[in-house]
Amino acid sequence: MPIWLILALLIGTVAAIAIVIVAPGVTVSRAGKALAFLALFVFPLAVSFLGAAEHLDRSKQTKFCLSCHVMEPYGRSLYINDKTYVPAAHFQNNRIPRDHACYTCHTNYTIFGTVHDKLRGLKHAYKYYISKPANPIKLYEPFNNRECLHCHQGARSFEEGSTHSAFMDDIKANKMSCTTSGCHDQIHNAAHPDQLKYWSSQP
Amino acid sequence: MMSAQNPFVSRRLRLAGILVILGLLVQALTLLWNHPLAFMAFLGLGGLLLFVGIVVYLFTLISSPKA
Repeated sequence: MPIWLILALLIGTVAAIAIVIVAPGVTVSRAGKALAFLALFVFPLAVSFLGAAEHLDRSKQTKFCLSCHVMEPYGRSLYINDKTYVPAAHFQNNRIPRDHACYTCHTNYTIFGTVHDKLRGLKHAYKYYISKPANPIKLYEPFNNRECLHCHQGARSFEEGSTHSAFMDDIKANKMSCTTSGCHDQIHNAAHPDQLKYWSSQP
Repeated sequence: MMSAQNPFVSRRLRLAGILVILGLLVQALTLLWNHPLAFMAFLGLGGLLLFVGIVVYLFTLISSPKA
């Protein structure tokens, strides 16, 4: 929903509440009671819900993730000029939407995946602003093939690849990681960002 | 029946209204800022003010003197 529409609804809600504040006597009538109920209960909850949805949508943006200082090297790694780096190759060739790059690969493609991600996001904010983030940053658990297969499963280039075909059952069962050494093992190189060449300027 | 002429009810309605407006204003400000802290402020401050305001309103409904 456009932000201006949310703000317009919010202003309308504030105007309705202002009537109740300035003239609480209006709530004596049935219409006044309905106005108070809408202004003080229904509309605020609706506006708040829309605002939360907007914030959740924004939190999927690449620039949102990269707004924390510790994420800068990871954002920079998306511009590495080397196609063996999986995130960089995906980002630069539009295999993932650039404005949702982090979320697309690092979300959890399960029924409550987004909720799970947002709860982790709250933990990240706590660690960043109150506690201390890990250095270097690590995934909570090994990267699950499910996130790769969300897009690649069924794709001809993936299904017909000889290496993939040989290990297909193990790959789909997550017994053999896509990031296994010798396969797609060049991920973000955040430890030595200055030793690499980049495709273009920083994000 | 709620009677707005009752000073108790009027005062509570005003308090609820002010709290809800403050909560909505905080939420509106956070929508103008794309940052993790904005999300936290939306939930932690705006959401809290809104919640308290709505609770005050609902409490007023059930505790107001009979007309």
